[in-house]
Amino acid sequence: MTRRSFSLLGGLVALALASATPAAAHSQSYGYLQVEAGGANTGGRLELAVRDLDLVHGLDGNGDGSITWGEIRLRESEIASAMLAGVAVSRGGACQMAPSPVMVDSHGGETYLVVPFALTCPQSRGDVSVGYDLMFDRDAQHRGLVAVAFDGGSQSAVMSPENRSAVMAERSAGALSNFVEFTRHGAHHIWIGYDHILFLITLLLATVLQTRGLGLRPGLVQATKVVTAFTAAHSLTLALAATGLVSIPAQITESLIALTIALAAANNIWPVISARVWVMALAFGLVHGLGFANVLGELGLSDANLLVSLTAFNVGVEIGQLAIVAVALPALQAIAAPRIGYRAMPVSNAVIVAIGLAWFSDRALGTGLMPF
Amino acid sequence: MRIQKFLAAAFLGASIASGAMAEPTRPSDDGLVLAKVAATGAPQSMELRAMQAELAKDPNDVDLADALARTAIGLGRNAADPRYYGQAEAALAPWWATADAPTEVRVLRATINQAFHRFADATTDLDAVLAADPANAQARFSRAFIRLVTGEINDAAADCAVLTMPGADVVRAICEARVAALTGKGAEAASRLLQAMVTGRKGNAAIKRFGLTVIADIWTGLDQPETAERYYLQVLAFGDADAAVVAAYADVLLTQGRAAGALQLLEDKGEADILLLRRAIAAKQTGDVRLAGWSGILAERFAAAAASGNRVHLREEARFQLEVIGDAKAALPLAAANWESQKEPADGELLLKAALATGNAAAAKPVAGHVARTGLTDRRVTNLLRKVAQMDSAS
Repeated sequence: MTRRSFSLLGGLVALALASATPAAAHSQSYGYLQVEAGGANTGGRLELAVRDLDLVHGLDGNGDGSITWGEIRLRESEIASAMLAGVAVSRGGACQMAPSPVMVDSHGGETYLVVPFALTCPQSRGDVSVGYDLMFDRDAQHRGLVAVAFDGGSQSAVMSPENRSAVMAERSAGALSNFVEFTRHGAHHIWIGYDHILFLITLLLATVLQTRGLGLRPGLVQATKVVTAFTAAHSLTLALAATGLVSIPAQITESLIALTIALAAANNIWPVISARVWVMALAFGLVHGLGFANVLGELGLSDANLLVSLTAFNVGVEIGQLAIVAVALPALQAIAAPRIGYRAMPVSNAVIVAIGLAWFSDRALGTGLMPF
Repeated sequence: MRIQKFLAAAFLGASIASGAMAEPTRPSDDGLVLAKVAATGAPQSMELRAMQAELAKDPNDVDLADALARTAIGLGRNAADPRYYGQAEAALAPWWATADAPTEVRVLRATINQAFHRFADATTDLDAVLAADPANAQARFSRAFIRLVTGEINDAAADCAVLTMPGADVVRAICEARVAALTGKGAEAASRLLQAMVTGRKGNAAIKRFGLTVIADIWTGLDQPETAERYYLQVLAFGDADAAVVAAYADVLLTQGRAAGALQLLEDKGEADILLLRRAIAAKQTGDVRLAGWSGILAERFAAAAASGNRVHLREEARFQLEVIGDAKAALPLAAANWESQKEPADGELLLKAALATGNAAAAKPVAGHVARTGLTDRRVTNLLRKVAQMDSAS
């Protein structure tokens, strides 16, 4: 290709016309990079306009002026790799980006090719660095719109030829919302944790049986002692496990929890520990705390807000627990008060023993006896 | 623009991250058309592709980069498509930030900068070129046009007056006619330009088209749509009209209440913002069901442009808010920001309309000040200023 020669007037008019006409944005060239950096599943998607990809890859295979899905699909992996090669994500080191099959969507009336990807980074916490170098050598007005979503909100940046990388500071959730969130998690866990509820009810049953006919006050005092002991114990082991000071495999703790239910119910039938139910609550509570820690671990904790999250989770557990006590204690007292209810107690406890043992065999031996 | 920045950040944060946009899908039909591009054989764009491939081998070939940039600018102008200007800029990348770039590069750089409303950068280059070579007609003409856009009417006139190189009489007539149109001497200037085109250098279709477009624009400014239409039709008769000409003609039809005609004109003319905006306005006036689709596309584009810090779209966005969405309160700050960078009559008209619609007479002050300072004489701007004054005294 030789240089085109321009007559003075031809060139003049061409440029003057260009000057007279503001570019007024047909639609500018954009790339979109979204990264999900919160929670356990990290990934994202990268999008470029089909028209821009055509500029780099020459996608109109048959030269008819229409780029079809078929023409792209045939070269899908080549295009997707080239796109991903133009971006980099790192978090404590370079992250691996594994593409899924490409898709399409539209922005501003133009079709974009979407490359979804899974992201594996050396670290799951901390700031995320993003590098973006797509299209700039072909279109200096191309802009990469980058957004990184963290637990506590997202960070965004605009990439240009002069600015091809950005560090997105991790946005952890604000202290208050973090507290509320973990409190909710704690309460929720108690509510859906049938094993914890059943254990709590079994403990309450013990106090009900012990204080039957002694009036409201002794019943309440006993229940308070037991719940307090349970709370103190599981708070201690929860803290030990969450900080990593104690580490016991989940299968063992979950199995032991099932066993505590069976043992507590058995104690209601053949009292071994009669006067000091709170001692049993304390001892078995240590095991339940390890169970809570497993849940907390799944939620993901950062060192920075460990103490806050832990406290909040505990507060949530207590709120859930008190709600259960408020409903269950009067109900159990009402059931145990009449002679017939009292007579049925060994049977009820035997059922609880059976449930506890079934859970134990499920969890320890994988027998699959229980539906939940 | 703090508000714009905030909105941009909010858009990026909320919209992109939350995936508020359409969910991606995987098509099942291989025949689905995803994009229309120039077919093989479309001469100019194939030429551009070939030059881009060639330049990739030797990015420092200044002559090739120069030719590529010119071709891209021509395509960008024709389609009102900023992507071509971006490609021109990319071709000039090795010299883009150098102060002592070759003269040709500096002139092209100015053209590209102007297209993206970086008027100060453009002027810096042109000033330097003209300081070294006052007879550089390209630089002179380009600077005159920038000054017309930024409202420095007297300075523009000074540039036009020294376009005395041989063979440039029609070009000077065009330049002077545009200045005259802003100072109340449009009618005479239009006939003088027509005269110059008849007696001047014959055979250059591009100059003839340009001259006719300027004449049509002048009659539009004089509020004589029938006369303007006659000239726009002559320009369109050349075929392959620039998007800006189509948009200007569509505006003439819209001011005459001929929205259906505007829709017909804009059919198959491409998806440029300036055309899509007129389509949406026409669709709104005719109750066309396609309004929602077009206005959705425009809204997405304006949001993305704002998020990326691009301010080129302000004129269109303000008009979109005012005439399509009907939200004068949203239009006013956009029109005011646009007025800070561009001061053509259309920009003043937009700000005045937004000021009137919001009952905010103070917002019109910059336009009144500009008129007083430069002697800008435009029938529509004058009428609107009168209305603002009436509104102000009535309140």
